[in-house]
Parts: sequence; structure tokens; C-alpha cells
Amino acid sequence: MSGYTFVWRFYRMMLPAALLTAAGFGLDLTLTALGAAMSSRFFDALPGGSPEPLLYAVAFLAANVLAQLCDFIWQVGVTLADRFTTTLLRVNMLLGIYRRPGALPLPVTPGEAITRFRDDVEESSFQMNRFPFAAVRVGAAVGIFAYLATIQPLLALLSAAVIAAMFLVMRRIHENIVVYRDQVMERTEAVTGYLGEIFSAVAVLQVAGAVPDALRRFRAINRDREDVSLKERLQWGMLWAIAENGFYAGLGLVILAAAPLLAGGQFTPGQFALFQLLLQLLGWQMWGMSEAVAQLRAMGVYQARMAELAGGDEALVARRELRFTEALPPDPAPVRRAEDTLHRLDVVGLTYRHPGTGRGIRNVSFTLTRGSFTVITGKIGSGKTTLVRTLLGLLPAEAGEIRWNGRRVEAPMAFFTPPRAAYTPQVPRIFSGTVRENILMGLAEEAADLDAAVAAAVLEPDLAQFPRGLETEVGSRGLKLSGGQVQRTAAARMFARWPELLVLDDISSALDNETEAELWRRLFAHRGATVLCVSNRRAALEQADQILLLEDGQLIAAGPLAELLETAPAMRALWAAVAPESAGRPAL
Amino acid sequence: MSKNRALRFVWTYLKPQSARILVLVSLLLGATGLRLLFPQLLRSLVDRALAGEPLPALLLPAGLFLAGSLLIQVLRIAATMLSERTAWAATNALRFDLARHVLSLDIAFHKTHTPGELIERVDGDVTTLAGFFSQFVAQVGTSLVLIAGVLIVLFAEGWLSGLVGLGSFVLSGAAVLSVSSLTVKAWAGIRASTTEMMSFVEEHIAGREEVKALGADPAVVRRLTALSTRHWRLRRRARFLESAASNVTVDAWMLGQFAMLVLAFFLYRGGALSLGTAMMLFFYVDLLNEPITTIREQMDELQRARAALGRLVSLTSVTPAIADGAGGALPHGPLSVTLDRVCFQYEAGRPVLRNVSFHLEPGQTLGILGRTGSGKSSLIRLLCRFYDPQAGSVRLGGVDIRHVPLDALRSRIGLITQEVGLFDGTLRENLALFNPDITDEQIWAAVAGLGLTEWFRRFDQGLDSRIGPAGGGLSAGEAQLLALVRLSLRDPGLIILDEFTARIDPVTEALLQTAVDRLLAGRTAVIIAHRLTTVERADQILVLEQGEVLEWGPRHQLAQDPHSHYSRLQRAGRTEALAR
Repeated sequence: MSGYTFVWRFYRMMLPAALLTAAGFGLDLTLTALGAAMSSRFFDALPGGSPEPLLYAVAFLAANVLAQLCDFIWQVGVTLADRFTTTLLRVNMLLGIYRRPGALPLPVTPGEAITRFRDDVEESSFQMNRFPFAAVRVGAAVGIFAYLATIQPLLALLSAAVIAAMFLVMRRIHENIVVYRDQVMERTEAVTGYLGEIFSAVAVLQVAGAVPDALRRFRAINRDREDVSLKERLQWGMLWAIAENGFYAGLGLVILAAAPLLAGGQFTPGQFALFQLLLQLLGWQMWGMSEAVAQLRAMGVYQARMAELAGGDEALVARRELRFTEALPPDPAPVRRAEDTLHRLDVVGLTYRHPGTGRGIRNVSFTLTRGSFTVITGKIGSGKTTLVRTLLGLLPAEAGEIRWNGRRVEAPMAFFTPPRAAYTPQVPRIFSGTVRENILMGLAEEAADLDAAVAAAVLEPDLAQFPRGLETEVGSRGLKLSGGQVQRTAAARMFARWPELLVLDDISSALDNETEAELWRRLFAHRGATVLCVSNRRAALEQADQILLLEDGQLIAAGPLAELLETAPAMRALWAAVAPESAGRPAL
Repeated sequence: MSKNRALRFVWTYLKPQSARILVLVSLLLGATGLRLLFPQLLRSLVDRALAGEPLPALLLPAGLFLAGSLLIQVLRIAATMLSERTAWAATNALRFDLARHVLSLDIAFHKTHTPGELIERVDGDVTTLAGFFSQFVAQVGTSLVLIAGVLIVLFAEGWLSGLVGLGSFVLSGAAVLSVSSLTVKAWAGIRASTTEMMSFVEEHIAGREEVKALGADPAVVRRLTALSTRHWRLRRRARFLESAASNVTVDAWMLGQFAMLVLAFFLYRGGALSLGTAMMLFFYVDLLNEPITTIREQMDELQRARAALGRLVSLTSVTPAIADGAGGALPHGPLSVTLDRVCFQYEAGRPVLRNVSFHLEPGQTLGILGRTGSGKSSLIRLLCRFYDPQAGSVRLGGVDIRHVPLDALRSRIGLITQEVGLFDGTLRENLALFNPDITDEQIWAAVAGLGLTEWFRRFDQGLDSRIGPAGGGLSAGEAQLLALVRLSLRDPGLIILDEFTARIDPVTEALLQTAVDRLLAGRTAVIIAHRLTTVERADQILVLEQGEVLEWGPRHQLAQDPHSHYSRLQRAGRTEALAR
């Protein structure tokens, strides 16, 4: 999609705002031109004897003051357009990000994405707002030339020729600007992305004494950005100089050509003043137009960068009903329909390979039945997490089928959400805010049994310790909580929704044995819970109705522990490491 | 924020640029002088034409006008480049200093500030300052010179015309000043709301796996809409205020032009002026608009800059809660670890560690056991001096760590936690942590030393393989292996392993056992574990409960004592029974 189409699509959605802007600005320019005409009449009438010039002076003042008031009209238009564009672009980008399989890396880091949510959105919205002005400016330029031609055709033609020549030169500079704009945005993103990474890992850097080295790299990235930015600014400087020069050089030529006409009396001093004032006005319009044309090309750059996050051009400009309210209604409880109840989940031939490394899972099939407890186990890098993520649609399956009660699941990422499923990843994310907000995550309070969720996650001893309980601020990324508290808050988030299927990736890695045992006990006390979890812990393996043993991305054995210990040598090796003192025999 | 402090802050970064600024000002003064000449040329043209002088006499002022206008453009381009260079040099120096400052701040600070917020402050706020750095001094200075020039010329033509010009300038100047103070607050609010929104976006992009799996995306999108709407409302207010300021100044200037027309009417009719002079006076007042507009725009820029500046100064004035050590030095080789009656709390009234004491000889390994929340992680944070204890002391190699410079202290400690911190870059950069002095040979030797050569073969492009911050297909456990290599590339005197094997599967852990043993040989180590197998290599065991030492002693001794907590835990670990 070209920058032009992009802008046009937006304007189709906000035509009233654009028309208001254009009308206000058109009126503004007309009144300003009228003011200039009045001052010209003033000078022409001055040599006479009548008090007429004073009337022209008053008209001059009135026209200009009214023109100023028109500012407020187009301001309203611009502001309305601005609200729509900035919000829609941001929402469409975030939705695009959420449409991607959640565990696939984004094309950019979150820090880099910030540049797009901030700079690209605000710049493109700001530039987009110029276009109604540009349209009016074209009209105004034509009108001014036509008017000047009625006064002195030769001089009008001369100024038009000068200005047309300037435009041709500007076009060349525009080409360069687009190239540099792209590079500048790329370098800006490198800066914000890098800052995001080092600020996220500040403890790692500090304790490794790597801060000076990290800063040296930051300096280099900054310098790269500076170099490209200066190149871009030079182009802009030339563009502005030429746009302004168009007016001054045009004026200079007009003065030169007007000299003999003035001497011959074919051109009055008042008309001379009018040419000056109107050419000056024209110069400003030229400037505005040249910027708009240049920006139209740069717009393609912003648009491409934003579309990358939104998941395509169409997704970026997709129309949405936006409710511009600052008060937030909570989410209603997810509706639980009869077909949402899990009886049986079949996974057939599930395959996903990580691009680049080619590792992943191949042709994995298994079945979960209602109320069962299934443990996925295997060595490091055997594909345990990949299997869970592919099942949930957080990674896009290359092959295979998932059937919920025998019915094929078409879009797993959207399907495996509450009330059907919920998931706690290996390294859970906690967001800034209170413990309560983190558990609810937008869910209406009455839709969730908070106390039950907290209890199920064995979080209540911690909350009892916190002076503010559920209202405790967890800090940036939950840093104020211990690793175990983060894991259990994430688990409580899942329990607050009581889904049919609970998926846990290594929940117990930050828990001690006693806390873990308590968590499992409470989990199983919940009737009908179907659990799929990744674990290498003895407690989990012993309790499993079914163990799925993965090796190099393939399911090599499935069944209860006792059975696998007899049939699968790999299981025996794993068990020997997990429970050395009972190697070879289950401890039941 | 006091004004003086802000000015001193700005001056720190502009001072190195003062030569450039001087050249810039002279370029702009040249352009200003030319501008002042233009109305004079117009008068001479009109008067000569009306006096019926021959054509060559008319062409001279016209030609000068054309030449002058071209020269102005050259000066303008040069000035633009110079001011941009000034701005970039100053702001990049500022960005660097801020990043250094933020990286020097302690964990307590980073707990309350998201990376998204900090990015916004280190980059966003500084970018807001760029316009101010590049333009303000030069633009406002030359605008004032242009205004002074116009007023001098007008007074030279007669005190009446001078007064009209002066009145016009004073009126619009007063309008600029009165409105601009209103916009300061508006801009401060806008910066804060941008920061809030960006911090929200960063967190919820980084956490998209959870957001999706919990079906919370509609709620997040609604929240973003609300934040964006609020941001817009604040911007709208600032924009209308600026617009009102612009209106008032332009109207004041219009009034000046009107007054000049009326004055010209009476003077001309009284025979005191030529028509050319009347036009010249009008165009001089016309010339006033540009510098006044420039000053107004720069004042807006200043308000924006002040808001950002206030936030920057307050960021730089955050001092680490941890005061840097005065210069004590740690002994070479493995370090002994001594905690002497250490008490510690994050918040008053909620002690996390109570009277904790122990001593670890150089080269020994201590295993710390305890339930979640027993204070194990806090103890580690004290050892790395992310916090200072409220009472008692922490000594490494016999030296109180509060006396050792932080860099020196931390360069001797190797810490591995569950959070590995991977960067977008090559495997090499991630392992060497941007240290250019570490050679490939050193890295491969470290890998071989840990017995990971085989495992590293999975990286197709060797050390040039790209690793993303998300890990690029590496599991959390695999990222831990990288952290282990990272650590062995340095030569720490104390190694701290904070539950680092939590995500390594038992088979791999067994393979790693020998490698870790080799790494710990001759070094002091503190190991935190939930699992007993992890601490089986420890010489000493410390059991924590509710922030107090429950038990401390040599591991063999505790293992043999059937009444010790350690042996009780061992027995519990053996059954790990679960009631279903």
C-alpha cells in the first residue's frame, strides 16, 4: 500500500473532520488574501485627497483578525482527526501483535515496538493532518495566480514559472528524504530496543561488571543514529531553503521585471505591494505543499513499519468502533457453553519446527480425558515447552490436528482461552499494578472467585504477610515478588478463571517441595480438573495418569510411570536422576 | 525543580558546543542584516520609479534584492546544519550519561520503573530537548536582534513610527509571555501520560503469551484505548493553549500594521513622507511578524523542554540507595564469606532476615535451604550488595563490602539466577556481554571446560548465531547453560548459584555436575536450592526459616545427625509423597 492510499483510507473514515479542517483553513487563507488586497488599495488611494485609505486600513485589520479566528475552526478538525488516527493505529498494531502466535518472536523487540507506538503513530498522524491543508493550498495557489494574472499577466506568468522550476528541484530531494527517513527510524529503533534490553537485564549487567562495555555499545548505536539523522536534516534544510527561495527569488525577479513597468507607470506602487504580499503568502503555501508532498512519501515508511506489527496493510487501516472513554468497564465472565465442557482432547500428528534451528516437535499424538493428570517430561531441549505452546496455538503448527470432544479446533490460540483452557508459562509475566489487578487482568471481580483462586494457588500465606494484601503493588515486572510468588500469582490468574483444561509449564520450578505438594493437593481437590503439565519432578511423575516422554521432539513413550519404567530405557535414565535412591522401581 | 538547577544542567551539555553556537549566531546575524536591508531597497525602487529616474538606476536595488535573497538561503542551510550538529552532539551526550546513571541505580529503583518507562525517559524526553538545544539560543537571539534592528530603523524615520513599532512588539511580547506559562503544566502532563502509555505497551507486548492464553486481549486493548484517549485529551488542551497564544500575538502585530497604515496616511497627507517611505514603514512592521512568531514557537519549545528537563533532572538526582564504597580492596583468589548478625527488611516492620550469622572459609561451598519466602533470595541480594542490611555486616575476604567500590565488588562475584538476560545479538555478544577483549578461543575453552562442546554444535553459525531477547528457540533451561558459560569466562572469587538448576532437567543436570564441580574448584560458592540434590556437593549447609538461621553446620555432620532438619528434609525428599 502506498503512502497515498494509506492516507486516503484514513480520510475516508474521518471525512467530516477533514472537511472541517479544509473549510476553516480555506476561509483563513481567503480572508488573509483579502487583507492583502485592502492594503494594496490603501497605497493606491494614498496619493488622492479622499479619506478612503482609512477605510481600507480598517478593512485590512478586520479581514486579518477574522482570519485568525478561523484558526479555531481548523484546530477542531485537526484535533478530532488526531484522536481517531492515533488511537486506531495503536489499537490495530496491538491487535496485530495479539493475532500472531503468542510464543513466536516479534519482528522487533518490545523496546523497538515502543518507537512504533510512539514516534511512528504521532508522526504519521501529524503528517496526515497536513493533507486537508495541502489541498486548500493548491486551490489557494491557483486562485492567487489567477488574481495576479488579472492585474499584470506578464509578472504573474514569470512568478509561476519560477515556482514551477523550484518544484522540479524539490522532487529530487524528496527521493533522498524517503531513503533517509527509513534509516533514521531504523536507527531510532535500534536505540530504544537496545535500551529496553539493557534496562531489563540491569542486574545481570551490574553483577557481571559489564556496564561499561554495554555503554560503549550504546555510544556506537547512538552515533550511527546521529550520522543518518544529520544526513536527513541536510536534505530537509535544502528543501526548506528552496521552498523559501522560491518565494524570495520569485519576488526578486518580479521586482527586477517590475522596475521598467513602474517607471513607465503601467504598474502602480499599490499593485507592487500586492504582488509582494501575495507572493509572500504564496511562498508559505509552497512551503506547506512541499512538506506535504515529501511527507506523503515518508508516510509510506511509517505505514510499512506499523503494518509489520499490525499484520499487513489492511489490518493497519481496518476500521473499528472506538469508544473514546477513559473509564473502563470490566470484562464480563466468559460465557460457558455446553460444548465448552471437556470430555476428550485428541492431538494427532502435531508438528512444529523452530525456523533456523529446525528443532521442535515432530508428529506428536496423544489423548487427554476429563479429570486426568498428564505430565510431559524429557530432557532439556526435547521439545516439552514447544509441545505445550503448539497445542495452545502459541506456536503455529505445521501439521497435525487437535480435536476438542471430537470436533476439530480450527484456531487454537483463540480457542484455548477461558472458559475452555488457561495456561501458566514457564517464566510467567507479571504486570505493573496490584496483585488483584494481576489476577483479574480485566475480568470483572464478581465473575471470579478471587479467594478461591488465591487459595488454590497457595498464595494466601504470602498475602497475609503483605500489609496491603491483594492491593500490594508488585512493581515493574513483578520484581517486588519472589520467584515463587510470581509463579503462584500466575497460577492464581489461571484458577480465577477455572477453565476446563489447566496447562502448566514447569510451575514448580521456583517452589519448594512442601509448597509444591500443597499446590498439587489443592489442584486435585478441585473436581473435574483436567491437567496437562510439564515437569521433571518426582511428585508429578508419580501421580500422573499418563506420562508423555519426549526425546528430540518425538513422543517416544506414553503411559503411567510403572509401565514406562519397564518399557522405556530413557524413562529409567530420567528416573534414576530424579529419584536416585529408588532407581529402577517406582516408589509407590 | 529550581530554574537555576535546570539552567546549569542545560549548560553542562551546551558548554562543549559553545564554539559551534558562536558560529551559528554569526551566520544568523548575517541573514538578519540582509533582511533589514530589503525594505530599504523597496523604498528606493518605488521612489526612484515615481521620480522618473532612468531604468539602470531602478535595476540596481532590484538586483541587490535578488542577490541578497540568494545569499540568505546559503546562510540558512549552513545554520540549519550547524544547529542540528549541536543538538545531536548535546543530546547524545545526555542520552549516554542518563543510560550510565540508570544502569548504576540499584535494584530497588528498577523494581519500581519498567524498562518501557525508562526508555521513554532516556530517549523520549531527551528527543524533546533536541529542538531546544538546536534552536533556542540562536533563534531567540537573532530574532531579538532583528526586532531591535527594525525598531532602530523605525525610530530613525521618526519617533512616531518608532513608537508604533515598539508598541506592536511590546503588546505581542506580553501576550507570548502571559500564555506560555500556562502551557508548562500541560506539557508536563503530556510527557507523563506518554510514559505511562509506553510502559503499558511494553509490558503487554512482552507478556503477550499470557495475555493471549488468558483471553485478556480485549481488556488490554480497551485499556490502551483509554490511555490513548487520555493522552489525546491532554494534547488537545496544550494545543488550544498554544493556538490561543499564537492568535493573540498575531493580532497584536496586525494592530501594529494597522496603526502604521493610519500613521502613514496622516504623515503622507501632511507631506512628511514619500510614498516609498510609507510602504517601507509598512513592510518593516510586516517584518516583525516572523521574529515574534519564532520567539513564540521557541517559548512553546521551551515549555516542552522544561517539562522534559524537570523529569530528566529528577531522574539524574535519584541517587542509588547503595553508596559506593570508598576504596577498600578485596583480596585475590577465593573469598571467605562472613555474615555477622545481619538484620534486613524491605519495608519497616516486616523483617526478612533476623540476626543471620555464618562464616564460610575460602574455597568452600555453602548450600542454603529453606521454604519459599524464607529469605534465601534476600540473603543473596545482600551478598551482591543490591541492598544494605539495617544492622550487622557482610564481609567478603574479611572486608566489609560497604567499603569496597561496587564495580570492584561485583567484578569478583559471579551470580547465576533464573533470569539470564539475553540480548538481541550474536551468541558471542551474549556470552562475552559486549566485552571486546574476550576472544573466541577463550569462549570455546570455557565451553569445553563445562563439557558443553557437544551441546554447542546445535548453533549452526557457531558464535555468530543470532540470539533474540526472547531466546530464539532456546528454552529457559538452555538459556541457563549460556549463563554458566558467561560466568566461567570471568574469574570470580565467589560464585552464587541462585536456584540455577531449577529448569535444567535431571539428566542434563547430572551431566553438568562434573563441569560445575570443576568451576567451583578452588572457589568459594553459595548455592541456593529447593532440591536437595543440588546441594549435595556443599561443604556446609544453612537452613533458613522465616528469616532466621534454623541450622548451620558441616553437611556430613548434619546428614549423620538423625535429629537435624537437614536429615529430616532428606527423608521427606526421598518420599515426596502426594495425597491426591
